[in-house]
Amino acid sequence: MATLTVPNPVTDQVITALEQALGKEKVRTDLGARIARTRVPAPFPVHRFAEHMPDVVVLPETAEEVSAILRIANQFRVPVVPRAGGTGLADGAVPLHKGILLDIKKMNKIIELDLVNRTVTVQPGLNMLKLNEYLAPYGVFYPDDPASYPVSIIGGRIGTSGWSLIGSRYGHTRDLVISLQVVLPTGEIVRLSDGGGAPKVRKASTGYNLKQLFIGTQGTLGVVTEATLELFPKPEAELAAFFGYESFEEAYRSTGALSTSGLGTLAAVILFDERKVDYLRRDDEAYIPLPDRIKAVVATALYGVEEEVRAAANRLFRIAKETGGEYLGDELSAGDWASRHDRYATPLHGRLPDGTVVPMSWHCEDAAIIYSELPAIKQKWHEITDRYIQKYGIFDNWGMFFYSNNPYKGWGDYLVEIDIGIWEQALNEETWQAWVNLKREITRATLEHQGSISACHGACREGDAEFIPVELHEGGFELMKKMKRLLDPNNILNPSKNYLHLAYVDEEVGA
Amino acid sequence: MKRVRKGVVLCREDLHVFEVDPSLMTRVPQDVTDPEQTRIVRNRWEYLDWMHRHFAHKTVLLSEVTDAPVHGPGHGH
Repeated sequence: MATLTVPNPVTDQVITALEQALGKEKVRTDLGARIARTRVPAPFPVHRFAEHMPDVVVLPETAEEVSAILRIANQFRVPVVPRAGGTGLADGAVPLHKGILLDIKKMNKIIELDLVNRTVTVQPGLNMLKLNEYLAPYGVFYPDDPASYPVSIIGGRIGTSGWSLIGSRYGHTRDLVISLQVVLPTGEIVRLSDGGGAPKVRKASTGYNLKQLFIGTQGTLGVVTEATLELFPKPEAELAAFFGYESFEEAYRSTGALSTSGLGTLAAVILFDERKVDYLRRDDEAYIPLPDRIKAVVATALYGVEEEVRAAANRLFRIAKETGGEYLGDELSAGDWASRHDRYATPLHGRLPDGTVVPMSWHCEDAAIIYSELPAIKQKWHEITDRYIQKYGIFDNWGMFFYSNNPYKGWGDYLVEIDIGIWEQALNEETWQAWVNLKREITRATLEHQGSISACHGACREGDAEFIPVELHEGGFELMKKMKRLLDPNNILNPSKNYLHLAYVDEEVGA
Repeated sequence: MKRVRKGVVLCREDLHVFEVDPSLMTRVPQDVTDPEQTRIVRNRWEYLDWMHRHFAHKTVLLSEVTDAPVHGPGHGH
C-alpha cells in the first residue's frame, strides 16, 4: 500500500486537469500568486520559506468548482489547502506539503437576505465589514468581530471557529452560523445544520448535529462553500468603559465581579495585566500619560437598546468602583475600544533587551483557561517567556490579556493571550527551534492548569499541534483520527494539520 | 521634543503625538514630516469615529450617564 503520509507532488498533468475544470484564468502557477499565499501574519520560519510555498493556486467561484478540484486532488493524491483571508494566527492556511492552494476569496457573493426570518446566506469568501455595509440600510447586523475584522473572511472564521470581541453578548462564530454547505474531501456537496437539514432552523433534534463538526476543522474535513448566518438588530447604542487598578489582584477580582454581573448587554470584559500596561505605556499614545500607580486595566463594553445600555452603565460603574476601579476617561475608553475592532492596523515593532527598536512579527498565544487558574497561568507564562528572552534576545514580551470567552455570558473560561514579538529577520534554525520550545513550555503549562491549547486560532502550529493528542487523551483524538480517515481516505485535505498525519500512520501499521 | 517617560518623547504638543526616543531608533530610523503626521493623526480619529458608527447607531459615554469624570488620570486637558 502506498504511504498516505507523504502526498504526491503537483505535476503538469494535475495543472492541466485543473485548467480544464476551472479555466486557465482561475489556475495560477506564477511565483507572485504562490508567495502571497505561503504564510500568514504569525511568526514564520522565513529561512524555510520554500518548504511551504504551494505549487499552484486555484480560485474557484462555485461549490461545483470546489468539488472538481477535490476530485482531481483525489485522483492524483495531491494535497489541497483551503485559504480565506490568510489572517489566522495558527497557520491553518499554511501548506505543510505544498500542493494546491484553494483560495476562496472569489466566492464572495451574498446569495439571499431574509429579513423576515433574520438570516443572510453568503458564500464564504465575503468579509464581515463588507457584509455589514450591505446590511446597514436594513437595520440589521452580523456581529462577528475578530481583531482582524476589516480584513478577515467568513470562511476563515468558520474554519477556525473564531472568537468575537463582542461574543459575550452576541455569541461567537459557531453560535452565529445556522447552516452550512460543505464540499467533502471526496467531492460530495452536502448541506448541514443544527440537526435536520432545514437551512434556517436554529435548533433541531433531528439526526446528528453535524454543523458543529465542520466548524473549527482548519480545513481538514471539508471546504465550506455557503453559510446561512444569524442577523441581529444593529445596536442602538454602545458604551465602552475602561478602569484602572493599583494591582493585578484587585483587577482580577473586579473582572470576576463584572463578568458575573448578569447584565444582558455586557459584550466583553478584558483584563490587562501589569506587563501589558507597561507595554502600552511604552508604545500606545492612549496609555503613555497614565500615572504609574495604574498597574492593571479592565475594559468593558455594552451593546443594545439605548435605555438598556444607559441603565447597565450605572450598574457597571458601581461594581467597578466598589472593586477598586478608577475610570480612565471617555477619550481612552471610546478610542481604545474602537481600535480593538482592527488590531491588524498596528504597525508591529518591538524592543531588543537594550531597548533598541526593531521590526517584529506578532505571536499571540490564545489558550482557554478557567477563571480560577488565571493568576497562576500568568505567572508561569511570563517566567517561561522571560527566560527565553534572556537567553536569545530576539523576542519581546508584550504582556497579557484575559478576554471573556463564552457566548451570551461573561463568566467561565477566558481567552488568555500573551503577546510576544519576534525579530523574524534574525531567525535561524537554532532560534526557530528555541521559539518552538518556548511555545511547548507554554502549552504544557496550559494543560497543567486544566486549559485548552487554543480558544480561537486553532492548535495547528508546531509547539501546539503535537499536544492535541495529549489534550484529547480520553478518546477524543482517536475519534478525530477515525473521522478524518472516513471522510478523507486519501489524506488530501490540509494533510498533517492538527497532527492528523497520525490518522494514516495507524492505518498503515494496522493499528 | 519633551521626554515624558523612559524611552518616550512628546513630539507634537498640539496633536498629543508621542514617539519612541530617537536614540532607540537607530536600526529603523523614522522621518515623518509634520504635515504627514497631522494627516495620519486626523485619519486615525476619522477612522475610529467611522468604526463607532459602523458598530452602533450611537456611542454613549460613561460620563454622560454617571458621575464618572470625562477625563481619566493623566488625560486632563
